[in-house]
Amino acid sequence: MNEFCADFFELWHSYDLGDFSKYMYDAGIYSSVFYVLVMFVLLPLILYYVVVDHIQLARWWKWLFMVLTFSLLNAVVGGVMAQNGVDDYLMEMNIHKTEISDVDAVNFALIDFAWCVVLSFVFSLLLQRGSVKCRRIPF
Amino acid sequence: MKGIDDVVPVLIDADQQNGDLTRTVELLERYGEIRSHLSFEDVDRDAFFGTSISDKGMHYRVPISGEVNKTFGDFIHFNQLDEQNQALISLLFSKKNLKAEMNVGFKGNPNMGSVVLNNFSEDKRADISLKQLLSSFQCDDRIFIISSIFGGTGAAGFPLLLKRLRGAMAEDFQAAAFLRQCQIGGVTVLPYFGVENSEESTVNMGTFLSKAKSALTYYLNNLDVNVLYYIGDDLKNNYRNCEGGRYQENNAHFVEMAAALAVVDFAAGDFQEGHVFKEYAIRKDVDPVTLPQLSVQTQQVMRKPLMQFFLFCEFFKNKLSKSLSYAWARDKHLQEAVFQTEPYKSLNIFFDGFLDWLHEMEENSRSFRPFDLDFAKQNPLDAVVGILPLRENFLRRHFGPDRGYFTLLDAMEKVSVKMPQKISREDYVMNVFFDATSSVIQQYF
Repeated sequence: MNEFCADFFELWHSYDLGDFSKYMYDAGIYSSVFYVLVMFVLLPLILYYVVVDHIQLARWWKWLFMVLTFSLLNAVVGGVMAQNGVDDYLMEMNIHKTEISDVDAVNFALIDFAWCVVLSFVFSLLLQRGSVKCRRIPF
Repeated sequence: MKGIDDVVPVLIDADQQNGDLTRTVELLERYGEIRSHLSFEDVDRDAFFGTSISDKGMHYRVPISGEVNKTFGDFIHFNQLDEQNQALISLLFSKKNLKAEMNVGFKGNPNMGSVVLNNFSEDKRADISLKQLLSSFQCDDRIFIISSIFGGTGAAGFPLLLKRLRGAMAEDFQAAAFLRQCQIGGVTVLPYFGVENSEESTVNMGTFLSKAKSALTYYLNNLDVNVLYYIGDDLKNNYRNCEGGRYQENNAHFVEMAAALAVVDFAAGDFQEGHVFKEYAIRKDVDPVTLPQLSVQTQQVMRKPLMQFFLFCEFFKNKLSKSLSYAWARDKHLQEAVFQTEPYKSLNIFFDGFLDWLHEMEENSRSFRPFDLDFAKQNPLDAVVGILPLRENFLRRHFGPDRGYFTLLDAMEKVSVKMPQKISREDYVMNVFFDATSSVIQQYF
């Protein structure tokens, strides 16, 4: 699972963050962040389309606002988890010299955000079939 | 309307330019236009415009007499009579009667109408029309005659028409045997409004009650109907005194609406045994009358359909375009342009007529005010006068859709999911609105 999650976030080696990615993999953080991502995608969408399914939420811009908000929250949580996870691992392994930069966690959070938006869109197209009032959202 | 496959309304009036007649025919034609776009394949399903109304090629009218430009005196050839007969006629008819032009009807003079209309069988135009109308009459068909007792045409025409039908002979009518035996009902409307005094008009409200009494005396022993309905009211309002023509356009009145319920009662019942008499009443003598003041029986018949149609009307006229971005419309690619074509153009005009009707009844006296028409634009659910929507539970009250238009839209989304795939757009729109309004009324009222 860690392997898959690593490929997922590194875009199958297209976007490798160097030491940051290496230590995230070694620490097994990728899978934790992935589970958090899945939760931030599915939970709001299931609430939106199935549980709440409210007529006054059935507007594309309200859906978009929800998706962007939860993606941002996910990115913040994912970025913090990744940074803290790597820091803890380095401390545990007593590693002091790395090429990790300050923006690596931010870049990772951006990828996390983008994946959240993409997956939200894909799952929206699936979950809208189970909805009555929001069945045409986003289209 | 339960128990009926097809309704054929026929308007009989010498006053061809009558304003009320003209707008009635216009609305009937609009109804027909709307209905022609709907299929009603599911016969067990209630629906808006579900009752078939047809004109049998006659545009809802039977013309009376080509004598429109004659005076009554000319019609009876008064000047050609000898002195004795002229004296006799002068006892029965006034000088004003004899000089009266008949192009706007009989101006509240049933004595004139009974002479002119007694020539029904000899009036070629009227008789041919009647024969054409009744050529497809079947054994289970019924006839219902609506007339006023204090006017001219209705008061005279009702018993004469009835005589013609009950005395139908095989050489006159193909379905003579059916006509003699069929169930015939009638509603006779007693005085319920007055008219202003006017020197220029021969219509005089002082004679309304005396004419009604005379006619009732005649009806007592001379009407062969299965069921006769009576309705009337105090003369609370005086209309403009207009003898006829296109300026005779009286506001709609509660008594007229209630009289129309007689048709529904007749259609649903079995009066084969005959000799049934019915009167109409409301629970309390109030003005305005609201829905709770109607009897239980009346409410059972009309409360839900009236409320449904009202909700449909308000939503269609005020919120339709904003609702087209929701799923119910997008499922069938319904856009603004679709609603600029038939049957929606006719539907809009029909709704205008419906709202005019409600306004007129509200402004009349005795007033009928089922809805607060001004408040309805904001929230039609709270616009039912005298009936509050049921209290919602906590969750629904705070987290449910806003009352009013969103509530109806919410119901539309739910019912539209269950609509069959293979259905025309017109049937889909009507069925969604029907089912949604029905569901909202059941839930809240």
